[in-house]
Amino acid sequence: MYFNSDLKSENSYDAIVVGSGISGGWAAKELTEQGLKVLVLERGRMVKHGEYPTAALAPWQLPHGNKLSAEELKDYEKQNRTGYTVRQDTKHWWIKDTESPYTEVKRFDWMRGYHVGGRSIMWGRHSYRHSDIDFTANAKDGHGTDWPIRYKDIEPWYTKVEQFIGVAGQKEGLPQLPDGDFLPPIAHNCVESSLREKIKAKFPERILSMGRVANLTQDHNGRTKCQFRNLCIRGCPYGAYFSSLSSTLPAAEKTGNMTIRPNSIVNSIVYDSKTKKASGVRIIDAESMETMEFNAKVIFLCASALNSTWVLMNTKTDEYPDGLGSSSGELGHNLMDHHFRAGASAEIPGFDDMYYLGRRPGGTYMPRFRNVGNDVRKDYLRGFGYQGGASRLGWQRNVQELGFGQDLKDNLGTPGPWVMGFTGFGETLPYHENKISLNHELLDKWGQPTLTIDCEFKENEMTMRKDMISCAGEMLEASGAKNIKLNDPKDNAPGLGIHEMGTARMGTSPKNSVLNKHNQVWDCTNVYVTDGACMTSSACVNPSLTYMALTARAASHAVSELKKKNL
Amino acid sequence: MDRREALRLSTLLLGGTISASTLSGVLQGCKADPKPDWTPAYIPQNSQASLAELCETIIPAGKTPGAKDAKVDRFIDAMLKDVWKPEEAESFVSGLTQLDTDAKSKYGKSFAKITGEQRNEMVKMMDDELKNNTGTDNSFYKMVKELTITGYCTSEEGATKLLKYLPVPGEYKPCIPLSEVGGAWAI
Repeated sequence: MYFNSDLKSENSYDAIVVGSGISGGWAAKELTEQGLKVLVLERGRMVKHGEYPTAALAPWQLPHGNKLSAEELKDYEKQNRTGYTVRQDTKHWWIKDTESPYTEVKRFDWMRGYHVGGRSIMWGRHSYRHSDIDFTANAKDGHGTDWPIRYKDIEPWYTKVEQFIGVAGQKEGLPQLPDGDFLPPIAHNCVESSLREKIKAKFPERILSMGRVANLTQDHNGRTKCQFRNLCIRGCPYGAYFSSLSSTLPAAEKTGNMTIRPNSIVNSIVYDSKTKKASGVRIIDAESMETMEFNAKVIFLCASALNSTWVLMNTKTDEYPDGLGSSSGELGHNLMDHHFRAGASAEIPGFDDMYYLGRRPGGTYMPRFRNVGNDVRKDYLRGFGYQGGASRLGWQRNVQELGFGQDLKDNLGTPGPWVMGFTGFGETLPYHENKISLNHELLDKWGQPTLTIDCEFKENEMTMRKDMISCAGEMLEASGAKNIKLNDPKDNAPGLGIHEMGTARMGTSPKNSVLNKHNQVWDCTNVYVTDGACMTSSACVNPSLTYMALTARAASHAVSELKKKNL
Repeated sequence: MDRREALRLSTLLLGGTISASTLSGVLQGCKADPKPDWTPAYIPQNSQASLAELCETIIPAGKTPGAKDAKVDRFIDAMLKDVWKPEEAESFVSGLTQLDTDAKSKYGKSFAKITGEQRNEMVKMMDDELKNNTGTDNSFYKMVKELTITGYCTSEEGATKLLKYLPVPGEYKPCIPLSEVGGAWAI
């Protein structure tokens, strides 16, 4: 990798990729491997694989029990809403809200990481295929607009992506969650194996599978297998989970065709109204504040759903005063996230003499069983899956318990009861009125307009949540669990799933969508958007695998269109 | 570790690309100053010895290290100063002062100066009050227990000597007899 200077003669490329996260890394890899000279623009700082400053620190090497000081937290008011991400070992992966503010009409938790690799460093790694039940859902029940693709269109791309990134998974043969090309699954522990059988006996359609995660259970493509530290979020020195840094960017670099330029905030696309094509992008250097332009034949927006949409909205032209891609009236609309955290947990009696060694980077997954097959809900549409797992409580439980002295020490040194949890992840319908807009009143650290987010979960999601809780409770009850706790957090707002989707959706016509079936902006076909913005519906599964597959598919399309001189 | 030396080493190790704020987090991770005449930054100096004895009463040394070995008092002092909300930290200190007042009225000496048996007696009273839900204000006892347990179990002494610490397991064994591990995992 090298830094491009601002000389005019060096400012032209075959393709520009905006963003270096999950989607941008794939665009960079695919386009460079097919011979294009590619400029990758990343708004944040440079990070290379291995530059994970906290990866090997022990608990006692992290100040304050890994908590941030009150002073430090002032910069992370919104990023800290997850309760688990902004800590001493991870704070360098999250933006400062004080530098990159946004405005909430209703509460929306927007979690961001601005650096090379983006959120692919901190992602949850669950990797699921959408099925035709998902691709046809909008058409069947009339919410949103129809996807312009079906499972068969994306199936080979899912396979290609899985083979490259490495997904540990268990095949289940379910139509609602197609099996992939998996590495060996991470194992159930003894409590989970027992619950799988007990639940299946009472509820045959509910399969307690293992999470399909982009963690390597064997060495794969030059990367080392998982060491079961479960410190993925700090960055993995072994490269044992998929991130842009460990996988796609090195592949792109190897071609010699990639230039990566960090600290490059894309302000807008340069649009040529004569050719009706983009000729390049305009950037602000985040350090020098200098403005400059880079030219290319094709542009991939992979800056994350809301920021890619921001770039389009901020590209105001005489023809498109509301931004490039706005002619359908859908740009910035149909914002979705998964709603989650509703579910149940309980103690599982027995197994007191059993334990485990190693810390798994993923837990159990129960695929959707509502509104599939013979199950038809009268009270809500679509469905949900459960993430979860069983483990023995650790020393932390003693904070809430009585006792001191030697008794307390004995308790600290002994593992607690087994606890099994189910957390539902539910589909959110695409609502036109869930939207983002540009705010020219509030500017960020670099003088750029910010976003106003106006989004909420509605009745369908709220009704589904009740079912998420009761299904989890009844499975635990039927399995002989005790002390069942139903989890129904009232502060559940969109954004916290960190799965923003839909603000530049794909569709079947320029009238109903921003993007066509190849992820091209209808109004400007040499601009592709392949991150979460393109999603036409959310399904209930974690979306990153789909972004990767759509990106690889779109890159292949762009290369063939360039060869045909169609772009 | 010398701060400047730490900075130099970190810069070398990390390729000089890491931000200042991240680096400060790494540097703060250096071991607490080992000098015996440690002075608290937040809690009043005349409560220092009582806090150390209170933590040790909650997690005493025995076959394995106790709260004093793990320097839990220093952890608590830093948490109160930097992490806790000012009003919570103040209420902690007034609880600690009250503990000394109670010790003096009961035994004529501060909590640090009374016998180990008397200290056990006083902590047992707080634990019983919580158990029996007597309506007395238990907030100080809850706070000190939380801080002592967290400070101890995340310390090198507690995590590696009472608990089982395995930084790089290298594999996942899903179902093994507890006796093979011999205790609770630290992380």
